[in-house]
Amino acid sequence: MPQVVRTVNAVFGQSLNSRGVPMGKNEPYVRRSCGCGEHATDDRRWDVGLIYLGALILSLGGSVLLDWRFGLTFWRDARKATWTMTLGIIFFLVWDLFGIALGIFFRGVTDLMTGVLLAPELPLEEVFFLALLCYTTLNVLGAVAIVDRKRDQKRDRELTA
Amino acid sequence: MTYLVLNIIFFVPILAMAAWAYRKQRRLLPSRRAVGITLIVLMIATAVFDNVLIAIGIVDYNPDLILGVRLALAPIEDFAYTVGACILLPALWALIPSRSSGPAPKAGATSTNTKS
Repeated sequence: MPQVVRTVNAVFGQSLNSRGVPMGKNEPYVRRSCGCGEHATDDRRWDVGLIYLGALILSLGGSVLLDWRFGLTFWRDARKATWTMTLGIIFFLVWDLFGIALGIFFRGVTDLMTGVLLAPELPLEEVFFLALLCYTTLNVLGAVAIVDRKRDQKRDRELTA
Repeated sequence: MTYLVLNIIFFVPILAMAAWAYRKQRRLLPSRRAVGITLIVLMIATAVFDNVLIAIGIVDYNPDLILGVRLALAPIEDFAYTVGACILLPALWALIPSRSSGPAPKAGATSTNTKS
């Protein structure tokens, strides 16, 4: 397993330790807390660190499928969708940054994140999270609009029949 | 500044956008029922994932700056983002011109029954 990880890391770049700093040249790419006392326990494993981001991307992918299948958001009006999502995400990011600057919330200590930070205490995953929040909101609104439209069309057909 | 005050402050531009959309593009806004349904769905989702995120340690809060009212682990202030999204995003959607922004839509046309 370590050989595989080293190869992958050679291809994808260095792993980050839990402080978001690239691990040094002489550090092994993977350290497991095996309890033997010879390994450090706080350094990030690349695979575990992708769990949160992976879950977000998976959810976004599923949302894209639903959007495409039912014409909810981007497949309803690409221009509105792009601008709404962009402005919405930026707005929530600014909100987040103020919350971080005021010391209200902060990253927890966890292996499940990549450790990549866009700003102090603002993980990369947060952008994906906010995208999912905005996208889900728009998709549900779009779904309700479609159901309402189908209902109206059905009623119109029945009235004119 | 507490989380509550921060959220109240950020609701000002959100409500301003909503008011602007209501004045300028009322017909393109979703019905109150639609927003209500979306709000319920998103609140449930927020309650679930927020608790999961806090439980697994993705995010943490300064206890001095939050009200301390929590839905399990999730501070109640966190739901402001969800409510904010349900108000802000449809307002933006209504205000942003469509791909084919031609003359004003005919009477009775809505964003749901006109092709864009």
